[in-house]
Amino acid sequence: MTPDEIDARLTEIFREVFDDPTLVLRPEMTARDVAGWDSGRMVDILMATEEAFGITFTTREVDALARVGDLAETVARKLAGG
Amino acid sequence: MPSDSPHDASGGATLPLHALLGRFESIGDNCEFGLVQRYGGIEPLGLMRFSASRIDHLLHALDSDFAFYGQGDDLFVYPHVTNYLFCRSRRYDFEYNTGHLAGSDDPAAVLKREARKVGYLKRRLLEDLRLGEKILVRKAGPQDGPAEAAALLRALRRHGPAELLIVRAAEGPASVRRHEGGWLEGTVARFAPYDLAAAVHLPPWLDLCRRTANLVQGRPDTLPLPPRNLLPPRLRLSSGWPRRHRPEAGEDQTVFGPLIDLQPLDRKAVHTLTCWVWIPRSYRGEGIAAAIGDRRIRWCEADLGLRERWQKIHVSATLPEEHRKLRVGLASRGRDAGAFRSAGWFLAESPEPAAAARPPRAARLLMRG
Repeated sequence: MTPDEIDARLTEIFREVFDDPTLVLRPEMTARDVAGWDSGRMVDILMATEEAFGITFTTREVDALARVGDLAETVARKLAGG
Repeated sequence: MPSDSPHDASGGATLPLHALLGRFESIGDNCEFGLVQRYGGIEPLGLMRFSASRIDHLLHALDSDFAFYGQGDDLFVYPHVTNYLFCRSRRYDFEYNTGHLAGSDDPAAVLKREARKVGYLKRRLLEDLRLGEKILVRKAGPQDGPAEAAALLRALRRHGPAELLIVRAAEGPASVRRHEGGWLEGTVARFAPYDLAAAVHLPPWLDLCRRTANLVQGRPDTLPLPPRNLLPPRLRLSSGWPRRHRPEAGEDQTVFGPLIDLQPLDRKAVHTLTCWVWIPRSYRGEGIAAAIGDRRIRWCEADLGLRERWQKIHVSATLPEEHRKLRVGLASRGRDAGAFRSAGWFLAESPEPAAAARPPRAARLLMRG
């Protein structure tokens, strides 16, 4: 899967979780940039991402997620077998 | 990638607060420590982070690997007296606020989502316990003694190499020691009332976390230096003298304050702006508040009922990622509000307001109230 495809799928996930079809993701975006992005929504994002890509995040991987870009990179690494 | 182990070499005194608080995970008995983490600027995931739980029920859950939590018809949601929907486990009696107002969403849909979340967070907690990388924090209930602490430690260590911090309320500064039974025993001066859990007395908790991290790493019991004022020099040097502010006529809101360069600052840290304000009887505005962008976590606005005297206000907030500079200062709301004064401005990397109990001396002398 290409980085653009990963970004597109993550955008769909975020739009669904936040019920905002206009939401545009940026790599530097953090929870502070999206209204309502609390720990509860973070769980929704992680579950949807795991389901969409067929992966499972470890606790360490989740704790290291600071930005949307980190999420996309972690997904890419796991899809590549890392 | 930095280690998350409680045995990481970085001690409590040197770690940034947000990194320090991330070393801990709450396992009850209520949401107080979860709020300590929020006010300290982090929002970690945690199955028990905002749950109310009795220790005997927690022991049962640990002994059964939380197997029944969220399974089948274990969970139910109901409207709480706070008007939020709460979720409760029939098997373990854990209870937490879903964050949804009663009537805002279909309870069946809320229940389905909560069951999925519980399943996800349960998996994470069991993984955390296996890894033993977090210091697990449990507030002791009035009846919880050494026997309960020992049982809890045994139950946790069945899963992995847990570090358990049992916290009690006791007068005096925050303290921590290793109990002979193997767990850590910590104290804070007081807990928030159970029916007002948001009223967290933060400084002792932060001290406790630093002391605990030092103890676990085998480091000296040192605490960080007091935070320094991050305002521009000209404002720092003149902050003792009262400044007069006149909101612009016809404007709904006027903000007074400097543009701060955010580049040198830790964007992950909570920053607090504190200052003293003097509101004359002639002020007609709707409010005066300290402001750091719009990501407030905690704040104390001016009491418009207090006139002709100094009062301290503050705001704690996180810094936006996308800005290079940000205006911090005082916001006066309401058209044609009239003038007011301020003194003692202090911007610090800290979730707590500046400690000064009185305004600067020059301000007190010039504006006696």
